[in-house]
Amino acid sequence: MASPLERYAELKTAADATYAGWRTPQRPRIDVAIDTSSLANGARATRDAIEANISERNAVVDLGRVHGYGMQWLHPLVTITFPDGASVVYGPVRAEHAALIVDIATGAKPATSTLAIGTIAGERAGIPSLREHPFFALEPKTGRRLIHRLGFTDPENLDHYIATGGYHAAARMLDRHQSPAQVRQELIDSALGGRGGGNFPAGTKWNFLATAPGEEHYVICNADEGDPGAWVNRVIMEGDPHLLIEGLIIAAYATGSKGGFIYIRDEYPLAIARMEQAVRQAQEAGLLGEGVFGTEMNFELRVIRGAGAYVCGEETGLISSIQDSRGMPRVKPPFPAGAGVFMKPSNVNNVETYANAPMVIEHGAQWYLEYGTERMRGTRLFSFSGDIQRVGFMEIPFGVPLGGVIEACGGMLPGLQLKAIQSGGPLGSMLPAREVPNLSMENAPFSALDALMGGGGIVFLSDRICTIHMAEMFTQFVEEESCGRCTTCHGGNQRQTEIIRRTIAGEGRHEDRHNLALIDRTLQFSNCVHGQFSPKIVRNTLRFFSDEYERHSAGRTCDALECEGLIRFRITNQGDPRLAEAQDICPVAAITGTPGRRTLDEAACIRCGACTDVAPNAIVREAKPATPRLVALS
Amino acid sequence: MVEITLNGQTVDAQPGRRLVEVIKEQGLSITNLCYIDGLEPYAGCRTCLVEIEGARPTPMQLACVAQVAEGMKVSTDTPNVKSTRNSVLSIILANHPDRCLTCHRRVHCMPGDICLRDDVVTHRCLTCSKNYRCELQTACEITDQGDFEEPWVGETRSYYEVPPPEPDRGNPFLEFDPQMCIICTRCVRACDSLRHTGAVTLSGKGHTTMIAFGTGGQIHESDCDFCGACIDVCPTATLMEKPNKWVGLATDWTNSVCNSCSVGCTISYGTTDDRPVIVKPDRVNPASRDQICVRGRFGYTAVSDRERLTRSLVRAGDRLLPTSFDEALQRAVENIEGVKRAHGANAIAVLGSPLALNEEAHLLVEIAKAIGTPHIDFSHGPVHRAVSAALTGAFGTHRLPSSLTDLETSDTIIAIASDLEESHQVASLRIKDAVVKKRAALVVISAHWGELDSFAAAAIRVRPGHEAAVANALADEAAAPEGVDAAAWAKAIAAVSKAKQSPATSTVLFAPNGVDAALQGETAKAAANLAIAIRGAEAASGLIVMPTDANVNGIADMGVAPGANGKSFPEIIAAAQAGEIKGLVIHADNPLLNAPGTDAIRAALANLDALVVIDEIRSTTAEHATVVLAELPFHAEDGTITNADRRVLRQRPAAIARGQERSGVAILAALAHSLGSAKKLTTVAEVARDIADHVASFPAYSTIDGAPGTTRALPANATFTAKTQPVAAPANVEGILLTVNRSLFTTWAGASMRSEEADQLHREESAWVNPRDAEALGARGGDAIVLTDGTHEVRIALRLEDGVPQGTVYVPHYYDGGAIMALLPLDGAAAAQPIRLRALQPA
Repeated sequence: MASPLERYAELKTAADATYAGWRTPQRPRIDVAIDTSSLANGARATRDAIEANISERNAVVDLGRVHGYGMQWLHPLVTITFPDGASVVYGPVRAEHAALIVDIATGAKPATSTLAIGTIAGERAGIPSLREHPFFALEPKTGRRLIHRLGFTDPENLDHYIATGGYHAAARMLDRHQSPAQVRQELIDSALGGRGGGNFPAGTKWNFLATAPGEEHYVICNADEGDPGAWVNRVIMEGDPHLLIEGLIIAAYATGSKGGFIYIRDEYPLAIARMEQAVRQAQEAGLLGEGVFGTEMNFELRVIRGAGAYVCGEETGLISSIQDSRGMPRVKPPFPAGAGVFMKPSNVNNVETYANAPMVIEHGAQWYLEYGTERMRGTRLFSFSGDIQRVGFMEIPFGVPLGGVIEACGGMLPGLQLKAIQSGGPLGSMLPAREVPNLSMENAPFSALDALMGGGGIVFLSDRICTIHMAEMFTQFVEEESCGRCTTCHGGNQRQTEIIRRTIAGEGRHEDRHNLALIDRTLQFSNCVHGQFSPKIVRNTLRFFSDEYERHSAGRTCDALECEGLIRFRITNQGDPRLAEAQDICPVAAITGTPGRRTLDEAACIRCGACTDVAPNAIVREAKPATPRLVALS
Repeated sequence: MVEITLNGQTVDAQPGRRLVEVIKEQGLSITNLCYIDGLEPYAGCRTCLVEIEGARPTPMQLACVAQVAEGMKVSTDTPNVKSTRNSVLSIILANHPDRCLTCHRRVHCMPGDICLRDDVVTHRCLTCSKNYRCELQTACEITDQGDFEEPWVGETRSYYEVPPPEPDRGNPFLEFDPQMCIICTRCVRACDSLRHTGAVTLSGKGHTTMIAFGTGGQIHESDCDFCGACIDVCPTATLMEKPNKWVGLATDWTNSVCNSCSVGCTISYGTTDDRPVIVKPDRVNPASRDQICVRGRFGYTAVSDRERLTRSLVRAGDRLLPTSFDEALQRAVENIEGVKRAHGANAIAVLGSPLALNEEAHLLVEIAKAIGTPHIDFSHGPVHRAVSAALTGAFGTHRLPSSLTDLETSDTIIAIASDLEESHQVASLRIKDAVVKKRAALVVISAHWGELDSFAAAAIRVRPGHEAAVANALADEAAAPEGVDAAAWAKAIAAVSKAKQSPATSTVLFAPNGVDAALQGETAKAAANLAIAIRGAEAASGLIVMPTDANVNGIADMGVAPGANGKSFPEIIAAAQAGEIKGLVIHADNPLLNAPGTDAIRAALANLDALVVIDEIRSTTAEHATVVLAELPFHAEDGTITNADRRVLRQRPAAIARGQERSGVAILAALAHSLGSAKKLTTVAEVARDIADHVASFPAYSTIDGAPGTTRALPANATFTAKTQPVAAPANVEGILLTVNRSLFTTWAGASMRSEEADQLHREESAWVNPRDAEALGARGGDAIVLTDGTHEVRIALRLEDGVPQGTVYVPHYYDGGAIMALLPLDGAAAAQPIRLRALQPA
């Protein structure tokens, strides 16, 4: 019987041939980056246009598929790989650029183009290497570690994964190279922390499961990434699904688990499709199911679709959801390691945590420790968004100053100043710009500010954003997503939302601060982190944006002109022909009258702003004049 | 036991126990609005906060989650605990009508007062149906919530802004007012963990979180059985009994027993103005404990006071006219003695009731003796004697030592019962307990589907009449009998083999119906054989026999059975029809409802010179009477019943007479006295003493009251044999056979009057027909069809039901006042002859 490494070698030989043919194709190939963010930017139309163009002209060009590199502001991205092995990345490529791209691929036009961003293989005169792009300035100099395949492989092709070194760590481990205990020790030595945000040592957590009683253990992957502005798990699942599977095989081996679940939120259809396909491929190749790599190890892996509850990102809520129960966090103890899914010992980790395991096992703990800080080791995938020039994701070592990140992201959009950063999602935090430049990208400095770095998403907010308005959005979100168990949480968040909503409606009261503090304190006695962390953003807002809050509450003004109760819309130019359009678009028919004599009914207006969008020169958004208030005589 | 410190006091407590239970036991006041004693903590209300010294990450912990550990130091009343509890409660109150809960002058208010704060009535406790019995109200009182600076006063609370959700008042038993809900989910967990029904769920999230029945529709459209377990745990006015909802604040409580089946669940009547207004489970019966069913909870409301007899009636031509008790009694005695003079004592018969009390039955026997007739029986007598004979043949006695409490601790249960969920729901619940909590293997042998099937490892579907043969084949571990599903049979055989591995925790349960004596006798033999096959010499302890009605065991023990040369129930009817019996005394029974052979019974009743009926309602039988003596309703009677496992349970009066009706004991004692009984018994106590003196192994009241729920009418130091008996092979009858069972919702009293509201839910007014049979008939679900034996016809709606096999039709026994009994012969052999179905053209 072939040993795991012999089996691996067989797979590798075949995969190498396939991959080599793909890297240096006989005919030029156009790879359109197909991932959720490129699709959102129109990649499907671009791909269709290129496909149509190729068939129309009968061009000798192939069409392929990759995942993006992280430069999501340049989506849709297209990579052209020439028969000499050179690959050049172009973007943003719209449908109208299809002919140009096909021309470049066939050599009818030179590779240099205004759309060219950089080369990722080979050289082309006049085009810099993609690595030299300032966006990648913070990434490890020795190259990406976790997401090194992104852009270089077809994510739906198992051979590409194997040819680029995939499944070697698992095969070698299973080839009597390491015992489960050794694997766990390697993880502990690497100090790999939970990437969901808690940074709890993964190896230690795996030890809990490995030493739990009973035969039936489960490893569970939390891919219910629901924080706005965080999409790092999606990138891994869409860009390198087999990496996650290999990580789960390693975890299953290390913890003695025969079953595994990948719980993906339903809002990630492409990730679900790619993960399901990858699981099928791995099963067919004998890497999952009965007899992994021909050994006695059995590992059944299932992809589970979430049903849209944010709170299922909490590990016990997720476990409930997997077992078809209502997605509600449980009372702990018992912890999942003692009684998890189906009340059997289980381990829940984030996608990125599992995805880090193959490289730790492949290269060893020492190699892994090369990057990061004392407290947080390794590199981490971050997604950056908001009012910055370059929106995208990058893999950077822990400890990089946030100021550097803004620089890599090209700074704020023209004319805008950084006002705040929002991290950790709705249960996370909001920090003011003044704290940003020297803030190190690791948990401790954030915690020191009563903030949360969270699961990898950081949103940069500019001065056109009202933080109170932002707090209202988040507090409403956590209120709506409360599972309904704790009165403190579902009731407390209703009260908190009511107060904030009243404030932005221009009805702030003196006692609100006191009452918000009371809710905050009471929410601490909730069962899970959802309730306990739900007042955090409001707390941050009151602390760091105290002036702005007071200007809303006592001063009745919103400087960013966002809060409904503190602004109004006024017609300033009756002669503007676009006023007719504005009159039409108003959803509540607040604009009435005939040309030249139009009026805007302030009482009917819901401050949606649609009219100023169509007639920016005729209707102005302005602060509502303060109405005199009755003041008690004392 | 370990020592813990509670507010400075040292207390012994079971380690691992939830702290909140210990705190409550110690009599300390603690708010806890979501915990249900004995279940896993839900930890939703967050009000049971206490301070535990040294606890991590904070000393403030929930008492429902915290478990007792050695040396634990707990404080329930520190300022920090109190203020935190106040703020948690304030958040609960923000989503509940709270105007009275925190009002400083609430103690001065009366319900009729005008509110000085101008609060609307729907926001006030004083106008709430749960006022003074609301746990949330109590929680606010013990935390001095009124003194707490209420942060939400004047807040634009969505609670008061949004129109309240519609209450569900669509069924006769349970009212659901979601406006009052604090989402503690006790109902969800009671329905799921205590009842294994799961009709209540939590739906929505955030501010739309709400409990929902079934898929969110009305309660009666869900799986709800209206047992009311959710009512018992609901802390607010969200889930309440519909009957007497607004007057359910009882001033007194009377511990008693339910008489609607032979489980004998002990219940407590809450009374106001000497009439019951509410029923709660009473934990005396160890088999029922904190659970009852819809019949126990709402049985007292089955018929209104208006429908009950409050005056005795005497016949004048074709009318029954009200009269005084004394005159009616005199007429009754004249009637009976007139028959006796004209035709002799042998022309008079006495019929008892399987629902009556032991004391009443004892007096009835005295009446028969005073008359001098050996013809005394009750409608279920033949069945009971056939079953008893079978048991005696197997074990040497029919008084078995098995206990209903064995059900929930069993590892294997074989139930030979038509549909236990409908007929004996709490016994069914204890079986479910065993299946859910102990992973017990359950085998159900029945002619039609029942809810227990979904809990069963094997549900054996048999043709009516084949129950005995199939059960016997299982005892023999024989090959699958003809017509039995092979896969289910294999699982049943596996369960029997498993049972033999652990015989001590294996139970066979047999619930005979009340009508078919021959078949029930054979089935009892088969059940005994099965128990013997599994438990050998110990078999008597492993067989539970559950008669349909409440006090069959007691009535029989008292001697309600034909004496020497006496006639049995069907013989009495036949003799009356033939004119040999001219006088009949019937106590609290309606043979037209309870017994098969309606035509014969009606002819017999019409043929009598004297018919003395003692009953609480004007039943269809009473319509034939010459004298009707008005009796108190069951819940107003005093005495005892002997339930299925022979526990003697006290029934205590929870109501007084509305008119001139009297207790059964008083009426029967007077009748016995007037008929010249040698014994001069008048009070219940005297009757009880006489029973203890004369009836073997029947305990005295002092014993019953001294050990409530555990005193059993069993012979001391009995020995049991274990003898296998042959079981007769069933006849193979072609065609469509009828199967009949006691259903859950149709009340005895309502059906006995042939009231259209006997089944208030109108769920049990159809015949179950297999879709293929219906197709052959050309009828669809809901169509009216006619069931006929050639002579009699029963018109009924058709319900398509996969749960009955082809060739079987199930009809609820109490449908239309027992109309289906007309299709059965006097001996009740439903399986003896096929019936025909006929589709009616839709009107």
